[in-house]
Amino acid sequence: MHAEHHGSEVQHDAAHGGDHMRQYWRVIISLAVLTAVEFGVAIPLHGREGAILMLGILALLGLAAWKAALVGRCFMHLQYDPRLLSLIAITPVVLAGPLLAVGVFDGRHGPNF
Amino acid sequence: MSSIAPIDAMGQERYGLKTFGYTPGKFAMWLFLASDAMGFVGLIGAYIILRASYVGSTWVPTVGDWTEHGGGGLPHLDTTVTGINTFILIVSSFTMVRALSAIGKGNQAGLKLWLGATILGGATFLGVQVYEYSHLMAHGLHMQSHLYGATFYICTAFHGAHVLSGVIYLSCIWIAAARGRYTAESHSPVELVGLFWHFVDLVWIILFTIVYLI
Repeated sequence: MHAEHHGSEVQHDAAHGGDHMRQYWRVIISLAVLTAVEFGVAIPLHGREGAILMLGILALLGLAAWKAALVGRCFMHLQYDPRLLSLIAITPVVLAGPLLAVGVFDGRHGPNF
Repeated sequence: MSSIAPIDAMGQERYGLKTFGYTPGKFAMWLFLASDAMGFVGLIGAYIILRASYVGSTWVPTVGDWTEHGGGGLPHLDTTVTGINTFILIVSSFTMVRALSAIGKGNQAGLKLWLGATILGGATFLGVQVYEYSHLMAHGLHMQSHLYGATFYICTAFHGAHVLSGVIYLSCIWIAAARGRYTAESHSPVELVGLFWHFVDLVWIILFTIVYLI
């Protein structure tokens, strides 16, 4: 015989009346709206250059990060789980920052492969 | 013998639920997802660095018969079809949380229904991705054509492999659910497959923006 573990989902389900459905609906609607906004930002960017392009790219990255945070916090329950799990989740993002910064600025010298 | 017992108070203590607030399985899944995310960081990072190095020069190559469509080389990827596909994947995350919520209330029929919907969403996503690949390859975009093709296929196919793994993983959980293996008190594997599936969704949200929209 083996005992199966049940996760913190059961615990916070009980604590919150067992129904997160309203929040899940809010999240899915938010994700749909944010995806539509992304298209609204991306389509006019086609063929643009300079500062407008950079602003558009930053806006798109911000929207993607917002959507990813919604999935992580609400669907993956990081908002209810102990902070250690959030720290584990954020570690790759923190490591990615310097890696990309160094790589992009080095690569700006031009394609020389 | 494979009988299932809800974890009791002593078991919760033993497995760390009361001490840490999560099970060893959940902790291990998060460690796995973080290490898996490092792989995506490497690939997506390589894409971004290469893309940035092509500012002012031609990133999209003039290969294949795309030149017939205006003479400017490959057109931008079809963001409409992939946008719909993205939304299908996002909706499958929603059906996944509904599956978990259903079994949290002891609703086994709901678990099977919503898990099935999640599997269907994942399979549809893969089908559209295969369609897109065949379309692009038929028009001359191959891995060996250019860095554009290589990075596009590597990033999206690595993610596609995760979707395929997720569909297989979900199917195994669905079979176990159909055999009545999970209860309101004992359904940790459903929560763990959910974490993996949401991770796949989360990575696609980032990948879609970087590869298709920027």
